[in-house]
Amino acid sequence: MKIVAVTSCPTGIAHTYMAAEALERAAKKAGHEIVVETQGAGGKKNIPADVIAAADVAIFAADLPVREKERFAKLPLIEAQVKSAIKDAAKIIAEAEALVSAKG
Amino acid sequence: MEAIFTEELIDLDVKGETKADVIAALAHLVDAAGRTSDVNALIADVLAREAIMPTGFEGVAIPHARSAACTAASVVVGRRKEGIDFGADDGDANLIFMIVAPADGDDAHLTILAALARRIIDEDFRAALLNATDAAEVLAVLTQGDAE
Repeated sequence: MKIVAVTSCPTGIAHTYMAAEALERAAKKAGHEIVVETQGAGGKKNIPADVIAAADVAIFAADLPVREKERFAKLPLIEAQVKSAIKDAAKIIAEAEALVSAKG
Repeated sequence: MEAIFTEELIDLDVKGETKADVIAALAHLVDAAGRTSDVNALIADVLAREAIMPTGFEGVAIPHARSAACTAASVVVGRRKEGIDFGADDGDANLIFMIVAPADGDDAHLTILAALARRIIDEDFRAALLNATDAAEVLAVLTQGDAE
């Protein structure tokens, strides 16, 4: 499964990156590919459009509105709070798996 | 570029009865290091962020803020034997990272802070900090792999 994800938090210096790391670890452990866009205070770097186009599912672990959200509009979407991605990223990855298999 | 991690920003036995006490104690290290223009404003900014959503999880807490009172991006590491309640539902914190950045923090510093935030997820990193015997060893763990 190919996953794209966006993380963000109000301050943009801690939880955004912790959630990104947690999601990356959980996705790799479950045998998936993942690219995470950290919409934090640091340098902004969008996920390339072709990566989004090739993805099976999107995850927003974001406590702020996702910037340029329309880029992900065609993908099945899991939305979570940034903190739940840090605490239990495996569960969010499992939800993404279930969503993708339900859509067949 | 001023170092984000220094020995004077490490306290292996941080005192305090409440998380506000601990945040104040760590902020005073920032003050002693000459990295804040107004320690009370810095404390208020960290507490205000903490009030939105507590930052404790799995024995760690990451109180943080971008603050106009912060003059140099800093990570203060506090450790204590007795856990302190940082609002986590999975245990009190023995390891506290207070991360403060100027309101207009530049990308180079923010990149280092981001890398640190990612490493906090790593249980081995946390264990190495908890097991370090002195501030020099904590600093060595923090700066491992740093190009700085």
